[in-house]
Amino acid sequence: MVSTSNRDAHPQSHPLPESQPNSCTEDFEASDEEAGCASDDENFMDVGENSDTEVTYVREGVAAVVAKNERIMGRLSLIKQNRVMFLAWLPYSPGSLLPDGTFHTPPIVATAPTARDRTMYAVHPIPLSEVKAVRKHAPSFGTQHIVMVLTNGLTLPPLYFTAGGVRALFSALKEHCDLVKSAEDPSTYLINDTADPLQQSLSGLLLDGLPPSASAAFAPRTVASEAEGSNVVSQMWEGVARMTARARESTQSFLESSVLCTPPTAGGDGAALGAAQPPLNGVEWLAAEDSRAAAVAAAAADDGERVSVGEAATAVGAFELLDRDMLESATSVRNAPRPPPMHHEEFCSFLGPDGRIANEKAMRARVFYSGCEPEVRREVWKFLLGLYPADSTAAERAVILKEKKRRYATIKSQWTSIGPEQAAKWSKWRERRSRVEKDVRRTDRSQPFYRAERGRNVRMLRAILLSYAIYNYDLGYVQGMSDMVAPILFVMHDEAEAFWCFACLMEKLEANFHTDCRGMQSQLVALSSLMSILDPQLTSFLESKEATNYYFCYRWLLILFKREFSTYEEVLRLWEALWSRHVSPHFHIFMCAGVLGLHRRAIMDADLDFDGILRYCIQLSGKLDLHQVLRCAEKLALLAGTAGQDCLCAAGLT
Amino acid sequence: MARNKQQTGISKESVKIVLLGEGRVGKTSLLARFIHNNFKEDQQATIQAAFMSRQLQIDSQQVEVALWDTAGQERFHSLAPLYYRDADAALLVYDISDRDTLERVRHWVKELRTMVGDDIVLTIVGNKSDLERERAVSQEEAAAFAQSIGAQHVSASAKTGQGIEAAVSGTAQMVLASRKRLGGSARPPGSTGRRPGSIVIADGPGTRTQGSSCC
Repeated sequence: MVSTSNRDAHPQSHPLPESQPNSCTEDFEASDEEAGCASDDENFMDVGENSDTEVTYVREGVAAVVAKNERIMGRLSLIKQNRVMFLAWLPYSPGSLLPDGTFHTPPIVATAPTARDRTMYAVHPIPLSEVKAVRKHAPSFGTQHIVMVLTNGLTLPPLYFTAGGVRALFSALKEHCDLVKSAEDPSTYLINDTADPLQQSLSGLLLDGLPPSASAAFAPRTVASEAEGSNVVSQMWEGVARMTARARESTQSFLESSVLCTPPTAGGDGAALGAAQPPLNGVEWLAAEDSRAAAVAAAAADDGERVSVGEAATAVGAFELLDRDMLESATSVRNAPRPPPMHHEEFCSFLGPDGRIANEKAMRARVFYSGCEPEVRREVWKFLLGLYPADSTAAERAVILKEKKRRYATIKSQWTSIGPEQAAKWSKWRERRSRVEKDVRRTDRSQPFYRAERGRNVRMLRAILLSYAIYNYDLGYVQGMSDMVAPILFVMHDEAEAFWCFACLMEKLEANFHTDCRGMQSQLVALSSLMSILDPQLTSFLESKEATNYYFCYRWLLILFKREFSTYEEVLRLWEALWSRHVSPHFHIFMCAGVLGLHRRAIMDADLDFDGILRYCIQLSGKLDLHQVLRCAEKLALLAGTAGQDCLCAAGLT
Repeated sequence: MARNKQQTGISKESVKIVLLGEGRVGKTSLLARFIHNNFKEDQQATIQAAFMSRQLQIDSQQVEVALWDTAGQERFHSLAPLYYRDADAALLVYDISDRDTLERVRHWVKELRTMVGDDIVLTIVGNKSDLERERAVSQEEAAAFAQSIGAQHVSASAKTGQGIEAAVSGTAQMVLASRKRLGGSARPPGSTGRRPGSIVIADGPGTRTQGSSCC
């Protein structure tokens, strides 16, 4: 029996008075260990990204059959997010999420094959556009089941409707996509396959760029599409003109972005160009002077609200010069629809029978592209930040957590035991403590979670920072740390867990806060060389303004864009994307490049000097569109490819 | 800084003022009071810097005052040259209830004199004058110190609004006066012997020569 629990397992039962007694050092320890309160939990649940997410169909008791008489029971669902439909089948988890956010895993019969296979069979949300056909089997005896074939040719294992409901699935599908009965086989339904040749070609294009397999978990894939690609652009724009309102709606988002990154065409100019020039790679690619600037512009414009035909055409020209591999990987970025955030059940489906993460890479990719639902964030972050090793079993994690809590109590007692007479003889500690206390009182106070000045959460924040100041005495407390702890504590709802997550994070960020600024310096150097390959035009502009030190990005780099987004929802989503390390372990540097790329026109048109750029960047705070910046940064990271990695390495970032 | 030409063709003076001082002495709050006439007890710590500007009428002349707010903690000291390198004036802020913060002002004075020269106008601002009961630095002492370095001293409170207008407009006035003295017009950039852009932060606390200690 493995279970983890801590003292705040039932937060609702501890309503917190708005005002707590004065938080002097000495009166702290008693209540510090407890976390969460009723009002906090309401706020806690408010943070999610699923405002546009709607579950349109759910069927319980849908099973995958892995061997004779061996079934994995699960739930089939259709989820609609931002007008894109996703289908998911997730096995029921043997583990369960406790109210404190940790996982409980019951005893496992290790010999049961279903336990081993659960993670393999899970169908993480796949866009319906990736499903080519569904075949319905309704035998007179036995259970109704369906078989799905994906557009890439992959056939998913049959799903058995043990509690019925196949008909309801098909009516739900009909409502949300084009479902056509196959002429050859009346029990097979083709999805998104219409007689309209225009729409057929459009959906064909759309499908081609999508990740081919469900288990790939939405990692960008490159899919060659020579056959489909001829005259893509002209077809597309003619298509747009003729398109019906309905078709327009379903393809709009695709069209808006795809034109910018059209793959070189089979018979068109792109291919001719590709044939004339051997594929450029790495730095050679970067030597194509104009294309690089346009790449940033295109990546930026791609995500812009309004993209004119003219701009798009220019960008296509530029992209045709680019190295093909990079181009294709960049192309897939815009094609992949982002599934809804990972929820509890889905996270469980990543865990093997002993609670190990079966496919860490896929899980990280999932987090990068869609983020987490608030309910799993607390557990997922412990993996992302490295508090839990990815290959740890649930039992091992319970031990780790227990040990960490014990360690935290020891560290904390080191400062809670400093009495007034000792403090009087220790000016350095007094000064440090006073800094922390001054900053804690003014950290994220506009967030409901930290509203009560003497409330429990503010006091936990203080305790974590003071504990860190003594745990890492050489570094001490530096402004900016409270910005990092506050959202972590909000997610963890537990002082000790938040402390260790912060400590793990600081292992990576510590150099940012050193007196010699070496961490910041190497990041600024990396950004500078990255920009010089991605956007020579902006680089030479900045050179003319003596502004290539990139100090206007300082705050972004120091505290991972924390101050640039005003809601926790955005900050949490951003941080988990960064910490997933999926595209790059230094993704925040590409974020800087992305933001600059999105605003390069404004900066250059206004002919801003260093002060002006700094002002401009400071005033972007609260005005950035997170998803736009994330996508833009992702494209740039893919475009930069190995040359980009070289920039980071040369600057000392590993 | 140099003056701007407005579209109307009338030249307009602009003055760049940087705020320096220990963390939590109230630099951002002073600015918030000056620009927005509001006050927040829980004003968040400034990371990097902030910028605000306001039009002032000085001697029947429109003056644009650009104010740069900086991060106060010693650890960010090395960034300061970016903000003060071409400033016309500095408001050196201390907290009247905290003696150490005046010490920090003394460091700033030394640093500015060394790095920027004598042309930069200095104003020493004793903030939190509403905390009279907790006063740890006497008016006389601070005023005497200010006089010894050729700076003015203003007692202010971001909370009540006292003294801030006087501090900023007085400082701007002195900048304009010194410009007049230096040649009757806006000072061409670089005329003070500063080398804009020459301050390199790469080697860490380049200002360590001032003997400033680390926290």
